[in-house]
Amino acid sequence: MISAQRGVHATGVARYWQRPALQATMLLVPTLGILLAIMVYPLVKGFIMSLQDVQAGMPTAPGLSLSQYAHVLVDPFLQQIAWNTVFFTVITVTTELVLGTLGGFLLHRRSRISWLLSAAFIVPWATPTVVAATMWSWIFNPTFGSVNSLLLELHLIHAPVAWLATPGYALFSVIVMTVWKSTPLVAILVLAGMQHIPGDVMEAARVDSAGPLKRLWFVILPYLRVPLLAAALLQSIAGFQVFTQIFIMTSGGPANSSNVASVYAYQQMFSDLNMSYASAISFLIAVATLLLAVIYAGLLSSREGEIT
Amino acid sequence: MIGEKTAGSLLYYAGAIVSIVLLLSPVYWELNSSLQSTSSLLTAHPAWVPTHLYWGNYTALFGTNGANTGFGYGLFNSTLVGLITTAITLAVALLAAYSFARLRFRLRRTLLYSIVATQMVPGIVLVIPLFVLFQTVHLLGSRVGLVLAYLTFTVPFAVWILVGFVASIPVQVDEAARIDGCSVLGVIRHVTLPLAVPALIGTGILTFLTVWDEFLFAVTFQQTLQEKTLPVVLAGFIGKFEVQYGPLAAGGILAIVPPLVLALVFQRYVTRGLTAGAIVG
Repeated sequence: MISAQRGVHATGVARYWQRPALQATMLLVPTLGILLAIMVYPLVKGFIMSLQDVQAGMPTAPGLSLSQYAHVLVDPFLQQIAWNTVFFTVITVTTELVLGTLGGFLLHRRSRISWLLSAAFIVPWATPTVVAATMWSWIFNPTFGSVNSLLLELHLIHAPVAWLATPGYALFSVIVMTVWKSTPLVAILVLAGMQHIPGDVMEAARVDSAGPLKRLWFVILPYLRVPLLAAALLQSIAGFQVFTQIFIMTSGGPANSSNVASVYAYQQMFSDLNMSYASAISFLIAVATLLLAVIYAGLLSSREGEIT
Repeated sequence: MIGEKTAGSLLYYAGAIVSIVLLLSPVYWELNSSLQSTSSLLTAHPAWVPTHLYWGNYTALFGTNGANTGFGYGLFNSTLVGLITTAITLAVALLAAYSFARLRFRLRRTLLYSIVATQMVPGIVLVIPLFVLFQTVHLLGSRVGLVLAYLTFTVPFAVWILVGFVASIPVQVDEAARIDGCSVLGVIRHVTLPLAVPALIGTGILTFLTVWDEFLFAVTFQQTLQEKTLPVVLAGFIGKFEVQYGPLAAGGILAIVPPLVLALVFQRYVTRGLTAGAIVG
């Protein structure tokens, strides 16, 4: 492939600059420089900070210890927060996968309203998260919001519900907003997956007069395995790391009933000024994300040859 | 067979209509709210369609009521930071993508996977030490610092997408240019760049949308009103405009317009970019 370059002998100064390794180095300097200076270096410092007890910028004691991580285990709030984070992720991802697959099917079919359907799917995705959060906060407003207005008019409830101020309902409300915002992405990935299904495979299934449900299960879904796993991975990572909508809609309240790991770490850092503890929590989030990715990578590579 | 087709059509149209309603109605409600005065919104059953269009919310955003809402700053800063971040990202990522797609060197695979893997680093784990670091180098609250912070995740993402595209350009085109005496940078500039324009557009738009949307870094780093980006300004409305949901809705609508227009106009580029990374290798 690089036959032209392989034939060149790297002798002399001019030829030296043509060696692939050096060229690659030059081309990668900006990227690597940015990542090293603004990501790797701070991460290392943050990790060290999590091994100390930094108060107001200075470590209170010399040396490193795992006391912050130990504190995570005895933190009375952490059980609730960890559960919230996992619950949030599982519910949002499952719902998004199901609804997103249905959406992908709808988008796949060409009709006179396809353009409107595509545009409708793009709107939540293009809406900035902050806007979606404030929008849904208003929709869930107990006194003036459209949800209570609608439910009251339909006589499904008899008194206004304080969606964002009631434990249990608060997290649910944020889940609704997140599913609204994130399902289109899954639908687009599923659509792309469906467009990769060879036409003759679809035709063959149709001709075989297999019922639509059988067609779905045996023909279409295997092809959707990769896009669905990719979507599940992306959305699971996003769920574990969720911050903006919780921060804006509920601030983790009431009483941590909707608090999640990222928001808790943020509060520890900027409200309680426990910098080391916040750092430790955030690294645990990172580890959880890594585990997720490993699991999904394993799922993706297993039985990969089965489709063709 | 006829029965199945009609049932299929019915299901499709039913599903499509339900989807359109569910997906669009919150934004419609936001638009509806933005065009009514806050006083008319503060009822248990606000009107579904404004009786007459009220533009006061939109003008209030830009300070005609005498109060500086910061919305103008938010718009300006988000646009500026977005454009600069996108420009730097595309330039840096294209160079890196070329090196991964075309050159053979020892750490190639390791470096590529490492760079792509950094996307999984949660923002929260970076924001804490970055805050301390920026404080030290006096970058806290500056837009330069914000751009630098954003580059940590926009660049790996762009590299991920662009590597695939550069690799798909036939090598013969590169080699023809090299035989004509082009240096590596020359090849990138005259051959790769023009051919990668669709990919660059898609990646550029996705980058801009990501920056426009970003909240965690912005709310942590930006301190003064003059330097806040739009998401931070809008989030701040909840304290400022505690009961004034009219201007908040108006701000929301205006904040939706740029990304929505970009996404709709460049739909094809955007979906291709999104799926390229997730599905193709």
